[in-house]
Amino acid sequence: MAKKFNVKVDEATCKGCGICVHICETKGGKNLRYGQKRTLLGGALPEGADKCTGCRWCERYCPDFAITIEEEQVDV
Amino acid sequence: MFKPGKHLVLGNIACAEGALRAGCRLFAGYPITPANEITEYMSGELPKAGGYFLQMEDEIASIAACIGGSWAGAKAMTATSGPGFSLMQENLSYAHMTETPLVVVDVQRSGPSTGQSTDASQQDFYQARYGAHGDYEIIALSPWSAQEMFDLTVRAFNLAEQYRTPVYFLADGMIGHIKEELVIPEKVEIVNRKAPSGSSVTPFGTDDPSLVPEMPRFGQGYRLQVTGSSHRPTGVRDYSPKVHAEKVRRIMKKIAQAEPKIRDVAKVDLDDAKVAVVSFGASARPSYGAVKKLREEGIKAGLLRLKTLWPLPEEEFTNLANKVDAILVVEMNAGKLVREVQRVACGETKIASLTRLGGVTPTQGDIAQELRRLAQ
Amino acid sequence: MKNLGQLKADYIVQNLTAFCPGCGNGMILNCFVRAVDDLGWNVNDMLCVSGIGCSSWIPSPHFRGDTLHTTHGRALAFATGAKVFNPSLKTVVFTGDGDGAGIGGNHLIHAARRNIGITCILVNNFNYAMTGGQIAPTTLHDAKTSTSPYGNPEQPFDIAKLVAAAGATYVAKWTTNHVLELTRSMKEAMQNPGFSFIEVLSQCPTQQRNILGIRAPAQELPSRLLDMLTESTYLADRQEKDYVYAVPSGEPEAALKAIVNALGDTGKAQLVDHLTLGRVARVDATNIEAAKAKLSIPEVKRVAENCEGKQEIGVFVRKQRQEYTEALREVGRRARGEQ
Repeated sequence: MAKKFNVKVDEATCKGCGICVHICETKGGKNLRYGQKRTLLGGALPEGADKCTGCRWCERYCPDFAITIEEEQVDV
Repeated sequence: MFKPGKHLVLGNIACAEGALRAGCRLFAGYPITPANEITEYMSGELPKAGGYFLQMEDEIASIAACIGGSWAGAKAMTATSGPGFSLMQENLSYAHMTETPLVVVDVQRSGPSTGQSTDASQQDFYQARYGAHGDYEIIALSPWSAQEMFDLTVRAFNLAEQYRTPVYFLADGMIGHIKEELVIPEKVEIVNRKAPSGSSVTPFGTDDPSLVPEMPRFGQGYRLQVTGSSHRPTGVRDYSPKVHAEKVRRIMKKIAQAEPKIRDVAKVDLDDAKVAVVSFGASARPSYGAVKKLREEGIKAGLLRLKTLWPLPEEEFTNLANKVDAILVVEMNAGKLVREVQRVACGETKIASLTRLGGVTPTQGDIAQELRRLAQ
Repeated sequence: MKNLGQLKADYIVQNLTAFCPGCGNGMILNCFVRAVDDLGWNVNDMLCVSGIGCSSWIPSPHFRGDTLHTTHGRALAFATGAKVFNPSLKTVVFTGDGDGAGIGGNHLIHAARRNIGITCILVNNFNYAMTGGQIAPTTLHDAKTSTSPYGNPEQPFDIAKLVAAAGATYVAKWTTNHVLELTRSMKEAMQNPGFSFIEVLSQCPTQQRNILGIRAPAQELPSRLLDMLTESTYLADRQEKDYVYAVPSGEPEAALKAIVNALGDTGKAQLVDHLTLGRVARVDATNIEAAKAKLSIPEVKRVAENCEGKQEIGVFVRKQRQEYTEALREVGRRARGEQ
């Protein structure tokens, strides 16, 4: 059993400010990036590339309480 | 505090005594002549009564502290004069918008500006009513003796609690500094704000016909949102036209519809009067003397003395105008109450104005002379 | 440990925040609810008071406690009345550089002087942001803002120093890029019985893009501003690596190319944003003197030492002094003859 971390971004409250992507890039697991999707407000919606290490820097930095890292127990 | 019974007391001290007995437990103020005796007396007596005296850094902070304290549950009060009252206006607008009970004592001196700091006037008649920005109604009381400095201060606190509003106590430098008999009763009637009844509260809206919502306080778990911004009954900000209009109209109607109950006037020799004086506060004292003098001379004079200045007792003006041949409005300013009487009387009778500036009351002789002229 | 979704459910009552994308205020709110959660405080015991300005929206309408949103500059005075009458209210004031140090400056120094048991968090984004980016008491000299089109003629306050001099018993200064330090500082501040003051340098993408002339796409600008805040501040006890700033005489990108060429193996260069120096090349080198010698090229206007124009951050004051409401209670005991 191991922990897997899943990124959940609320597209209704994310404002596409890019802070989480930057912090993941510089301090975290280099997991978050922008794809094609947009938030409901029209900003760039960040997505996880399945490399989340669970460091939760993004959660610490998000100004909008829009990103949550959920833990999942998986069979290795 | 004085014991119940008869005393010889300075007007300002009588006011402070009334506040203490009405349950005032927070005073936040700033020194200003001629209100200082109230502030100094409160600094000595409030802590004895388990209350808190704050000398704040300015009058703006004083009103702010009163409002914050009121929302923490206190019956709060400040005392000031014209210039300090001007500084308080923005936060008083906030108090109206948030329907915060508190008492503002304005011991009026003579202006504009620094003016005659140690003398009296009735100049803040309109500043109390319209000094703060926005649309709102006010309650303002006017004492004419040390006894009324006590009695009407008690009433001011009760009205503030009952209607969830700031109440303006428009004293003046003369009544504040007069030393007269004060009779302190064994008990005074106390009115307290409507406490919330349930587990939730709508602090800024109500279906009650009084239009006065429940008044919660901080620390009860209601997660209050108190703001000066336009807001819904829950307190949540909302700038939409409907919400704003409803809020402002309700806070105005809350007081306007209660005018007959709030109204407090004293009628002297008005039953068969042909000519009447309308006055208030310190001006009413020589007016009273003049009316009595004219009666001795066989002239049917009377006096309508206002103890509530606002909301205006318009019905009294209308009734009086329909009854007498002439009304003389006597006041210690350049002519303010007279404008309201003229507006309400609407040409029903002759309205004359006797104004006195210079920091002194009009003389009984001047008033009597004018009344004689009007009685012809 | 709670995830952000759980923290939001526990402490936030408005789903979509009122802030612009990338605003520092949202980050400060994030740090604040973590501090409250870590301390185990019950929101029912809390009172948050604020004035007028963007930072005054941090608690109201977002926070799940009693909130009092007051008039411009006066939050501390309102809070004083409430705290005095009910000292059990855990009282936190949120204000801004304009609200707190401009119009509210007088109340700020008196609250500190009284040492009233309130925590005051002052968000400093160097301008009056809500009203359109006018000069504030913290705006840098010569900055071009909406009310200083020819450059700001005024000089800014050092607010933390001012409040320390006025008598606060806990004074700290951080930036929004220091989320861990800020959260820890908030906890310490809120446990100080007296007046605690935290100044937080913060990004305002909406106004600072104009005032500081930093243009970037919407999803890059906030991060650039955060990095700028770190670049423009220093901790007194932290060893500074050897580096200097080469101020470009022309285009920064062109200057960087020339600097990299000139440096060769002597050092590394990258473009950074600096609050007072602007867009500059940061030159890191083990032998900094050797690197500096290479920088006398036409593309470099001058070389600035690494401490130039930086603001010190950290905890500046921790002391003990009788708290104001305690002094008032002592007055009460004396008045009633109880001591």
